[in-house]
Amino acid sequence: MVKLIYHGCINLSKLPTLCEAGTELIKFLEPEYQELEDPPCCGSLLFHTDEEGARKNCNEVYDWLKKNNVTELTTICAGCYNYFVTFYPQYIPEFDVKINHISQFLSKPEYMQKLNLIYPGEKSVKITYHDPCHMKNARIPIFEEPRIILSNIKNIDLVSLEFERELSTCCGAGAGVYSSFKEISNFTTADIFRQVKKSRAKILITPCSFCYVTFKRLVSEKKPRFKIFKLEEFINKLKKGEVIE
Amino acid sequence: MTSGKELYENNKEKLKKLLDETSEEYQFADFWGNLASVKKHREYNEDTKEYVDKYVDKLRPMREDLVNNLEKYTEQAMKSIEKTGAKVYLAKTNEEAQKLFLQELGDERTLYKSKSADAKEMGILDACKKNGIEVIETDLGDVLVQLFEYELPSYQLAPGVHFHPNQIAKKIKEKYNVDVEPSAPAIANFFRKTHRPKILKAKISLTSANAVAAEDGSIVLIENEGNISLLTRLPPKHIVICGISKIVPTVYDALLQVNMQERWNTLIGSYISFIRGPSSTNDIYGAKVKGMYGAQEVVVILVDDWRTKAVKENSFLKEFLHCISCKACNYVCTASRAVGNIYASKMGLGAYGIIKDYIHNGIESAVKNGLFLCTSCENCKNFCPVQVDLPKIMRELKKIAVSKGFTPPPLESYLQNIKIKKNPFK
Repeated sequence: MVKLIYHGCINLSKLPTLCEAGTELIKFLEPEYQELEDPPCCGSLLFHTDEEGARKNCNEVYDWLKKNNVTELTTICAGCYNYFVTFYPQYIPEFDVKINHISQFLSKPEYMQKLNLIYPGEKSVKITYHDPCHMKNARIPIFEEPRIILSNIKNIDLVSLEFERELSTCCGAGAGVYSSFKEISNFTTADIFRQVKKSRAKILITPCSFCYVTFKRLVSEKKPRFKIFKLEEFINKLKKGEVIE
Repeated sequence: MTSGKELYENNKEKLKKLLDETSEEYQFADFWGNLASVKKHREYNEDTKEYVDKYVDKLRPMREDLVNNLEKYTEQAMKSIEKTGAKVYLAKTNEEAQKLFLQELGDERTLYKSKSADAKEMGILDACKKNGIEVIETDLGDVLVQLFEYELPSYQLAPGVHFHPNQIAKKIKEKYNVDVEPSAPAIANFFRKTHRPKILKAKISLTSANAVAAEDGSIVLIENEGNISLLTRLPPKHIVICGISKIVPTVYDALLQVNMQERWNTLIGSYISFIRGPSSTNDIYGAKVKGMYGAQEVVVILVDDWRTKAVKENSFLKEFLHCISCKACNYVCTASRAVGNIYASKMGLGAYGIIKDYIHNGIESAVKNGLFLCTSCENCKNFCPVQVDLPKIMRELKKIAVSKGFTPPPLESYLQNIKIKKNPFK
């Protein structure tokens, strides 16, 4: 009976600090959680491009999870969450590993109480949250949990974006488009930045690594006057009492 | 055969046009990115919202009944249309539809038509061009497209909506040597004066249908300009051409479908026409005389082409048959809003246009027109009144494209890494 921290390829390969933040948080709250060596890719782009490849990969990943006695996993990647929850049961009807996104994990009342998060400073700060496609379109969509977490932080005023929840604007990176056509995200990310500016938020929180990378790419060009954090990155900084910068 | 690399480079070249403010592509994308938005789409007025919320759940079951029994309803529609006194054909292919259409056109060399995505898709316009038939557009959007000789894809519900009044006034001066104030009312007034008298002289008209009721053969058309009302009543002969997926079981379903087409887009037209055959009178001693003030002849060409095949083979395209062509998906598409008509085919913007392109021109054309620009954001499905799973169809198309070697090279490298190294980023 293994509970697994599943970071996702993009985080393992490109965003190690997010992996560290996710691991620290999860292990702080549930020390029995483990990381395993060389986790296989959930399959991501194969679901969009290669029927047999996706099926084969699903089976290999499921075998790997079974071989390691994994009964539950928590991922910091919105994409992995979506693919595991939405596509795996289509290819493997008996798929029985419990899948959590880190927002579902953290939002449990006892964990929020244990974390007792406070935004440093005397004045409250406006923050906003972007709903990624991977979470709004998953078979089990996630809208509330990240908002529960953020609303529970003292000194924080959670404000809405112009388009949120199921109306949220796509970052333009999905389905491998970011690899080939960044032109889409030039437009959509600019639109999301406009919405953040309009919301007057000082911080934008995203729970999706693809949105995070897409947003960060345009920071030097657009020079937004707000900061961008991945959900677990932000929460771990608050937990450790770090300065938010 | 073109390689994935060449198609990718072709897409990239087209995207470069978005950096040139004078390009047609930039101008369309600039306009479209501002016009189309999820918010605008959802900001329908309260009356519209009430109607949509009340009836939207009835739409998918009705369309499923139709799609699952497409042959049965087509047969019923044929019989019902015939009973109305109209002539009806079932064309197995688009080519057959073109032949039937030209045959019905006879010696007439001028065709007056309303906006019809079906006619364009079925190659009727190309057949007219090939046979030297002059096509007079009557929908103002199409009139503008004709005026500008605009070849690129545009928004099917308002194909000329991206032209600025200044541009239109300048073009009118150039073409007709008439000074028109660059304002919407003045321009509309100009075309009312030039085009209305033309419509009055029409001998044969062409329209599509927004719905065809299998139960009683009603051809249902919605519009706001009044051109369809004139075209279906004034010329002696009215030809209707549409795909068999426009058929619905009953006349009440037809009303539901056309109302939803309008209201889902917050475009409430002034007219809904229910046409059951040619005009007639029984006023002279009870004798029925076919043809009175309205059309004397009504011809309906129903086109199958790919449709029953998709049902019989239970292919992924079967899902597409549930579409009611409201084009709401155009409005909320991430890639469309970002790159405008670069992600589109002649048959429409976004996923809708790409899927139609695949059906009629094959996978290479679909890739060329931007298949891999789809971000799978699923807005099209989320905002579809029939919940048509366009993202699933797009995934199937991408799978076909990849199997044929049309994958964009950067994506190909990720895919190979997943398969071999179990990590796309290694």
